[in-house]
Amino acid sequence: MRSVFAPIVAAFLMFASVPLVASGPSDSATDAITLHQGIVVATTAQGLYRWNGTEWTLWHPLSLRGLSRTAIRPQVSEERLERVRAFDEVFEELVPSYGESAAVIAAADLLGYDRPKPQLRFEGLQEAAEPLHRAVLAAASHRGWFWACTIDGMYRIGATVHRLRQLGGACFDLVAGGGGLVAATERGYFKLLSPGDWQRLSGPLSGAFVGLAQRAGRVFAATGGGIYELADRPIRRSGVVAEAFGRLGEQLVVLRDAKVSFLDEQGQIRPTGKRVAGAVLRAGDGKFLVTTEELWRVDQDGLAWVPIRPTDGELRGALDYGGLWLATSSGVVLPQRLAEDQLLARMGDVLSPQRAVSFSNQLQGAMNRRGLELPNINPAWSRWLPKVAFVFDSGARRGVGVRDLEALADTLDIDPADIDLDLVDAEREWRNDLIDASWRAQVQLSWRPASDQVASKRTQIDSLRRGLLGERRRVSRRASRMLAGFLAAERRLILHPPRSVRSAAHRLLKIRTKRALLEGLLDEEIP
Amino acid sequence: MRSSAIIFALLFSAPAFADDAQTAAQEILARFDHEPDVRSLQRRAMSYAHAHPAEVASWRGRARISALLPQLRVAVDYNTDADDTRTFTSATSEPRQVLGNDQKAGYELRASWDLDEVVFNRSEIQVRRAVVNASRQRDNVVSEVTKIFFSRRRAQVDLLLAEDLSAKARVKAELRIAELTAYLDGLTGGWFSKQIRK
Repeated sequence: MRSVFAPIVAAFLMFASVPLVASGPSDSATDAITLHQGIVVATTAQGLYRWNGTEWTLWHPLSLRGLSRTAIRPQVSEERLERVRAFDEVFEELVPSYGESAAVIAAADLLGYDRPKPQLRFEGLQEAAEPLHRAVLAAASHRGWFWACTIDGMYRIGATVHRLRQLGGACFDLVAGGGGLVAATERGYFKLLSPGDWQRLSGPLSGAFVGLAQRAGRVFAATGGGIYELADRPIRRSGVVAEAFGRLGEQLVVLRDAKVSFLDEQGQIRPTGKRVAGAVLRAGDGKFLVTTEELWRVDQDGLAWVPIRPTDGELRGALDYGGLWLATSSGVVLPQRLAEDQLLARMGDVLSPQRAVSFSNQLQGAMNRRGLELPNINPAWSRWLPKVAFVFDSGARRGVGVRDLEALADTLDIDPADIDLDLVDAEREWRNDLIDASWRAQVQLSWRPASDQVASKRTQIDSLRRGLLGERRRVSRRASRMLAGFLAAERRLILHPPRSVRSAAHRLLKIRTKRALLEGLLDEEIP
Repeated sequence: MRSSAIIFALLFSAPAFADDAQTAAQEILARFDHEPDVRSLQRRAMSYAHAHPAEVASWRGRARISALLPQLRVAVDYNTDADDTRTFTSATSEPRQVLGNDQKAGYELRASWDLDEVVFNRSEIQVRRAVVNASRQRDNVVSEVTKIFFSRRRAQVDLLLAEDLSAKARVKAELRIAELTAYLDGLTGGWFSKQIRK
């Protein structure tokens, strides 16, 4: 039942998963972009396409086996490696006499086992680091042929597509340069001597394959066991276990923990101090270091980050040919393609007119709350405004016993000297009348219309105005930069989605930081 | 064939990878919602540094009002004087004596305004100069506290997502978070830790 059911399911899933209409590099995942005989060639899992100046045309379709969305890693065990090496050595000895296919059978008879198949570990969908869905790992143009290193092995493409079975069932890397072409496959390392004639430099090395590089006619391979130079025999040049390895310019590049270093002639690691973002796809094809998010190159000043426009998918390759061509998981980005209006169309309204007006109003409000509105004072008026004083005073005078003793004595008909003092006091009370009371209200106005006073005030106002204008400019510039940074971070999250939870969390925090800085500056929430 | 079926089943069931990552990240960040948000922290830091816009508005208001308020002067006076007047009308007769005793009381109320200060107020000019400095200080405080807050949050997220962390690395990470928490406490007068404990 299972043997009947499985093929039906597989066939159904195959039809369900393969697109009915094959789309080209314009909008489908492109693994490599290469210049071949003056024509830009884009390599996808479905085939090779050439740019004719206006559009992509299919050059050769590819039917790669083992196509999946999982990352594929060669699984290494030492025992298996030994069996592979032994088989390869016997096979190499027998090929001149028997031919390829007969040599395989003869070697199996001699050794008592068939050639071990490469153990490919399917890691399944996972977070972050590994790039998914790359069918073509490298492509190169060399000696008039186009070479593709795929998960299905090495292909030589000219008028026809020819699979190089003798190099193995899976290819890991391919480098061209300095007059040579070197491939790393599951059978080992091979150098092209002439079309059809490959020299086996080495069998599989100890450890998982990391990268391949060619410099000044010398071939280097990095594996989990270190970095080897493939000369007459593999020579271990460094014990460093790299996560990615390649060549940029004349430098051998080693990546560990996203940090970029160079490997010198003595096998010493020289850090560059640079750190890359994203998963490294190609540590160096001679020109570019490609990660899923960034592009780097070597110039006269050293390692330099290449500014690129945001892409819809992850980066996979780059080509500098009349502009920067980018191979991404969403298609090829043409150099002239992302014009300003197209970029804006893709991002949507970066800042709508309503939002711009709202921001402007918020900024004005923030300025006013800070007390930064400009003074509107004309000191000339102050010259004519007086000092005003209202004065109110009131007084009362009580005349207490203004006594005329003589008159008093006359009244009493006594001698003034005989006047009794007690009588005088009694008389005081009688005389204790309010004699005088008065009040006064006064308005005082005083001016000092001196022109030098006005000049002095004007100078102070001008000085204040300059200070306030400077502060307003500073706040405006800061607010505008913060708003631009916040909007860019938001858009980047849309155009360049993060590939891992950690990366997503950091990007979200970055957006929130920028938003918080802007809201702190304006002292109110922004929509 | 069977392995191809497995491969294509995996292909068929693949989720929208990027959306899942963002959703998971949102959920992780939501775990810290019990802590004070950054806006409250900013307001607190501004108040602590006396750089809150409300304070600036208060200075300016008071400076403006001062020109409209009069200078008041109240004076009260009271005096008593006694006099004894003797008037000699001739060399032989007794003098005419007049004794007098006066009491005077008075008060004065004066209110004066410098109307030119309504147009040009020196205090307000000085306050507005101080406003410029306060504005810069405010931005520095807000910027610093915001960056530290999110550095701390990033450290918290990294610790949360870290797998197979050694004890040493974990202690180092937690110390970093504690350091940033203390920094925020310094800028807010201990308010941040108190809010977390609530």
